[in-house]
Amino acid sequence: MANPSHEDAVGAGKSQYHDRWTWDQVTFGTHCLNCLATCPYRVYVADGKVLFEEPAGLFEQIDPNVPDMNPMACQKGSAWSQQLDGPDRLKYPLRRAGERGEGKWERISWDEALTEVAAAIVAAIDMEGPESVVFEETVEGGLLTQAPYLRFAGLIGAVTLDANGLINDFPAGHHITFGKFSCASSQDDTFNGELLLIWHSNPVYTSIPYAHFITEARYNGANVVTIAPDYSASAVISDQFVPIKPGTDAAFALAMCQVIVAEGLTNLDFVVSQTDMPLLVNAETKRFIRGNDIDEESPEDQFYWWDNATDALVEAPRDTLNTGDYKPELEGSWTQKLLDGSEVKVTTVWELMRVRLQDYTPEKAQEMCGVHPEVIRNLARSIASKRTKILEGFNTSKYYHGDLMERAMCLVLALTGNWGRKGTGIQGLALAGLDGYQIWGMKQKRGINETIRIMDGIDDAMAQLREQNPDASDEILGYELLQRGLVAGTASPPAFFHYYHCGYKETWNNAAWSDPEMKRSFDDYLQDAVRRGWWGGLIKPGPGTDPTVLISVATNPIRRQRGGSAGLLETLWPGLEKIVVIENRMSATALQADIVLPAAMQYERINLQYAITSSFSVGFSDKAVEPQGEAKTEWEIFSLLSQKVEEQGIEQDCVEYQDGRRQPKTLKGLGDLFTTNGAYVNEEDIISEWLQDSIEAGTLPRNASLSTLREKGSIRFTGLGMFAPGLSLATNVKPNEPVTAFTWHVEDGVPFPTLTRRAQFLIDHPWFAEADEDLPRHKNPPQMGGDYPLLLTSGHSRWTIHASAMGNKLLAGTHRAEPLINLSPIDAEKYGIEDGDLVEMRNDRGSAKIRSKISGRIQPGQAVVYNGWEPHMFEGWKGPNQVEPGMVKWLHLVSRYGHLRYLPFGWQPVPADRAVYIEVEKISS
Amino acid sequence: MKVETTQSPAEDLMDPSSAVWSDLTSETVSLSPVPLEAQPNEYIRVSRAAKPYGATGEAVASAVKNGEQLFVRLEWQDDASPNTEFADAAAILTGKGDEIQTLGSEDAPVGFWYWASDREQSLSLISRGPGVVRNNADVVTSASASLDGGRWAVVLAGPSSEVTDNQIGVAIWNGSNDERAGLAAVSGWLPLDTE
Amino acid sequence: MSKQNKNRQMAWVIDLNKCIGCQTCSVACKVLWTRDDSEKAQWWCSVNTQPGEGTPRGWENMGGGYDAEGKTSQIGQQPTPADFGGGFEFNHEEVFYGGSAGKVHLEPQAPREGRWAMNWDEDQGAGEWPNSYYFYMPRLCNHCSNPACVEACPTKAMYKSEDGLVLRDESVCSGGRFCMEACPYKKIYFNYEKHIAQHCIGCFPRIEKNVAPACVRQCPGRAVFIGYLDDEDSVVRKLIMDHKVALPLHGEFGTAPNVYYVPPLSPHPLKEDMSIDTENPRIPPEYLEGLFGEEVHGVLKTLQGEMDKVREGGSSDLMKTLIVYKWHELLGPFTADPADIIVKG
Repeated sequence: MANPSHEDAVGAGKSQYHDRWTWDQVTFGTHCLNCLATCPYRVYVADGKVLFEEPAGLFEQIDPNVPDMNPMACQKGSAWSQQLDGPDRLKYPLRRAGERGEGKWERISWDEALTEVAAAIVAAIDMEGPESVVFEETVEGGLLTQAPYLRFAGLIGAVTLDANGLINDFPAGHHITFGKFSCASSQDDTFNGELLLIWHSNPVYTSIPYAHFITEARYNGANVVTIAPDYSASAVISDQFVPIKPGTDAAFALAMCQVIVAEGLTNLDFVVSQTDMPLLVNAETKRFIRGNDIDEESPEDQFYWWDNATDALVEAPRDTLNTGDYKPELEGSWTQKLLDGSEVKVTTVWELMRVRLQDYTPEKAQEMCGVHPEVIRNLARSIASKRTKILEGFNTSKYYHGDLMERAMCLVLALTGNWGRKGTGIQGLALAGLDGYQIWGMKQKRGINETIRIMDGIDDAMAQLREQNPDASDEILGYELLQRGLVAGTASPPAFFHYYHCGYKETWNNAAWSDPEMKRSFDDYLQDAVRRGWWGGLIKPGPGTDPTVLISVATNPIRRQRGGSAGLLETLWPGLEKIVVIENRMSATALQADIVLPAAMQYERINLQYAITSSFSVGFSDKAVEPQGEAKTEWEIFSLLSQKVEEQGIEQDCVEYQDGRRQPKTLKGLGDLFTTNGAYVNEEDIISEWLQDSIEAGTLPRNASLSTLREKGSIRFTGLGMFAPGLSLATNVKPNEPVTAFTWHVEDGVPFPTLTRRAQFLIDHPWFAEADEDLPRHKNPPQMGGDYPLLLTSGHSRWTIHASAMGNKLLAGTHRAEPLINLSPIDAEKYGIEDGDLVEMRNDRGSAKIRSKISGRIQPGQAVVYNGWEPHMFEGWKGPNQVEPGMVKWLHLVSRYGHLRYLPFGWQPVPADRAVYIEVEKISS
Repeated sequence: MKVETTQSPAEDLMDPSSAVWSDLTSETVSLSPVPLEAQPNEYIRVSRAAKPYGATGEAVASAVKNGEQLFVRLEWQDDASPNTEFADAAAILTGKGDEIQTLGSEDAPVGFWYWASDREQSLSLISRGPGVVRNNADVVTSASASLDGGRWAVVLAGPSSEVTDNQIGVAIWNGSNDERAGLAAVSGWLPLDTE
Repeated sequence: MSKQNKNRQMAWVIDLNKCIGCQTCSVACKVLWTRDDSEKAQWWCSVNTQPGEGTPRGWENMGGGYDAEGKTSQIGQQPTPADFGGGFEFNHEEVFYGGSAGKVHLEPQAPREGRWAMNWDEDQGAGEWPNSYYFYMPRLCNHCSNPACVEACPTKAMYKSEDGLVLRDESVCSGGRFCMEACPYKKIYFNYEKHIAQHCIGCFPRIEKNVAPACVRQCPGRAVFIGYLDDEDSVVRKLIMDHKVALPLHGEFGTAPNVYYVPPLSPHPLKEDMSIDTENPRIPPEYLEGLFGEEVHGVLKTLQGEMDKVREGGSSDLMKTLIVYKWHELLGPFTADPADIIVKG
């Protein structure tokens, strides 16, 4: 049917499409979003304007038995170019011309804007001290977005609120169990699994670039099981859907543990070698038998097991998980004489656990979680016989009792030997690799000699620490090293800031919204924790310092803050002298700012993104075009601001001052200090230095350089490096295999960085014992928000990474382009709501108006509002966080108990926003 | 049809309500549907078999010449239903041959000076059968229109050199009846009586 | 490669067990080809949740095509802009800079009554919890071997290319829209500014350079295969003709479509007591039969059988093919990297 006679005319008709697919320049680009995927794209440019982008598709297959990573893309990445000149793009510095949030602006020059910001910073330092200048941390925007403000904050002694305490991607239960939360394998290891549990996650929405490893694993023989309240988009690609009552996952997990133990399916060797199960406890107090119980010489953190060969209490080695010649007993109880002469009955954690699990027979658990006992039994048996990986997102951590869920999920894996081997473990977050970025923060000048000086310094410090802790692993020493720098740093767990300065005291002390098993008020526990100095040096700005200047770079607290407008806008905002937002788009926070500074977007600047275990490669984004309008990179902005602050310091006669620790500080030379005396002006030089120093640290191959990145688009890491968060993956990076976390623990017996040096299921801290959470258990979500019929859950949407793509008109065409509450038809009928109706969702905390979407996939009694809607997409600019109290679990105030102590991005109190009770009412059609 | 020569400026002639036009003699032209069996493919024949088209039975036409340009004013009653998907349209046909009823043929193409209510610019087309049209960039046409009380008044202008055998035709498409392409009402050749 | 053998037929195979409904294909296509303001409501490639009304709304009941033998033209309905929906404008300027102080919020500036868009009924599906069901189905022009649109085009602007693509010479298209009526898949849009119909061009400028179409090359789920049907080595041929696991959508429309689908498996439903009903599939087989014809039952059996075989330690050529160990296997002969093409400058 071809019509060759047509060809002349056809040529003319075709030309416009040939023209559209024409460019004059190609660069690499990625988007440095908070999905942290950093998919390598190519950016196609014509006449200085980005036309489109397309996944580079250049990953080599590294393991012939595992599909390659290509193409790595998603719809947000493939439409990024459409945002550069989008309707929400910021192009010029703005100063508010009306009241805050009124939406009246005047365009000002950079000089005016930076002078005003600098004057406010200096005035704040002068009046309240540098800790009254507060930065909201971000993980958005790439390292060259984050590094400048962290550096600037450090130089002036400001406060940076720990990002993970703000966004709550910290799975406390992993930390409780493993002493770390960063434990994911590379995404392609999913293909190696025989049983994949999509549990508390929705990778079909949130892990689009690597979801193919799930469908491909299924074709490779894996069973895919989705455990979720609703028939989620990920359940669609599964072999089995396990519907569960929201917030009851711990009961379900513990019931599987009960089956595994009761049916003798436990991998006993694994349990003995990897966990605290063989360790001895006082049978009456349920506290570990510790060194100082046994003899005067032994330290408090010496633990014991009962050796079958000698039938005696024996020190469990602290330098290895290997049991060597010992035959530790799991079962039994014995009498042991203690140092004080008393004789006590001792038993094992395993025995305590067995008793605990009796509360979770499948029949009992069904009452709690709604899952049929046979489903529980069959899945438990399956896990016990298959390489099982839990594909977990960052959802559990947003539940009040998420830690209990996580601990129970870890227990399932522990009993069945499911970590440290291919296709096993927990797929969450992992940060590793770009050590050059860490080293750079310590450099006082450019160049390799300085790198060597710093690395030698670290080696010396590690050697010193090793002398004090001869039985510690590099990972453990790495955390020790990190601890040392903390108090001198700028990071602060934000829960205290929220408590003292943002009006959360009343909310968090609302007993009706808290765990009913709490024995004392939240405030009582908090004061207790503060009095004991558990968070000493980290609470800043403290109750005596008024926050004065708030600077938000590439983050969006007004959208994100649990508790909605009551916390920030109504309580914090009125006391602030200056609110500065550095952003590429008009975000909810920018709308409430005094000064808005326009930032360059990816494709308009060079950047690297977090090194994480997605593809296990450096994510690189090159500069393809000039920034829109007068937008600048954060490095330029903070370089200029440093100079301005120095000038303003002199002008306001505030040059010498003391930081929060009463150490002398000076603004003199701040501009030069920021650029290390002009060494770091060009951002390409900074990136080259990060790459070069990462080679030195052993995480990148010798050929890693900017020119290699410009040739290949990404570079695969070769090692985990020398810093603690990266080392927490505890594995070797092999060139021809996916990265499997925790092999050092399983294959080499390297201890865990916990109190007991083992994966720890008993936390014998008195607060945990008091809460009956010393061992994993299930607790229902507390009645957050009040006594209402629907349980509100959430998750990341398919259409945007947080709110970043909400202004992308092209992407808005792929959904309804307005906020939605998902309801089941049963509830909709009950409340007289039809699809598309405007509905008020409300509880005792607040309310928001939102359109309904009705689907039989939603569990009756559940309501789902996905994350990412900006408040200004709702009537009265009141979004769904209005109904979230943002409760904080008091147990996370515990510190100075072994591994339970603050780490950046790690252990700290974090607010809960899932499982809030609401009611809904139809407002209009 | 009588075609006078005028010195009136083109702007005035392009205004369908201009007094220039009321002074000229007009002629009622009768139109009939392009035959169904002549439609170019089975789909159109099948789909329009039960849906008559081309019911615009007549139009009032007048013409005038200014230099090398021929101006033709058409006026006809539109049906009352609101025009939705398809535009009302009209064309002055130029050419010769017996196949004006089919809007020309492969061997005897006709020219269209084509106006449509949804286009800002008029078109010049070559038609080789019902709906079988191509753009004809060589010929420049212009058009303007007004709608008053459900009556269209349209002036179409083109080079008089395009007129062969001293005859033109008229075609009208009623958009609200989904008329377009070969689904039209068309006249026979109208001899021009040029001064 | 495409030049060596004229009058070939290109075919797509979309594996619905790998499609995750992410819309990257839709977006990749749109960013390339329909970025113009006049094209803002066009989605040549679209993904919809099934069961659902689809794009355009209710397209399956709009007629067109032929009888099942592919001979007698069926009268079709032209989808309206309201059926397609979308193309919304927003009030950014007013919200950001209008001084409204929270009184005006950002929302599509479109009438609420009858509002619709490409993916409006996303994830709504059918059935009741816990046994609700749905899956995703990308749709693009089927580049039919017996294309009703080509026949219906009076100007002959539409034609089959030598690669088997159904193309349109937009310089010839006179905007008659008979193609939109005749196409039973309703995958043709009208551009009211340019007065022409537009549809998927099969990424012919890419094909000419041996670059796979954007919907194939950008698919993160690695769900879309492309190749020539006469190519003995092509994966599409293998899946369609050898393994016989890829089926046309609504083959009864009689146009001999060239986009084939591997039909979706689904988790078993649950019984009233929440135990698993292993006897039945979650997606009603009759629903799938309505989309893909009677063959679908055998195909699902084959897929499940091969999957089970691998689970029991066996080896399956079909499963290996669907896994796609190397991305290039999806791209057929179109493995060129667009970045290697110097087009200009």
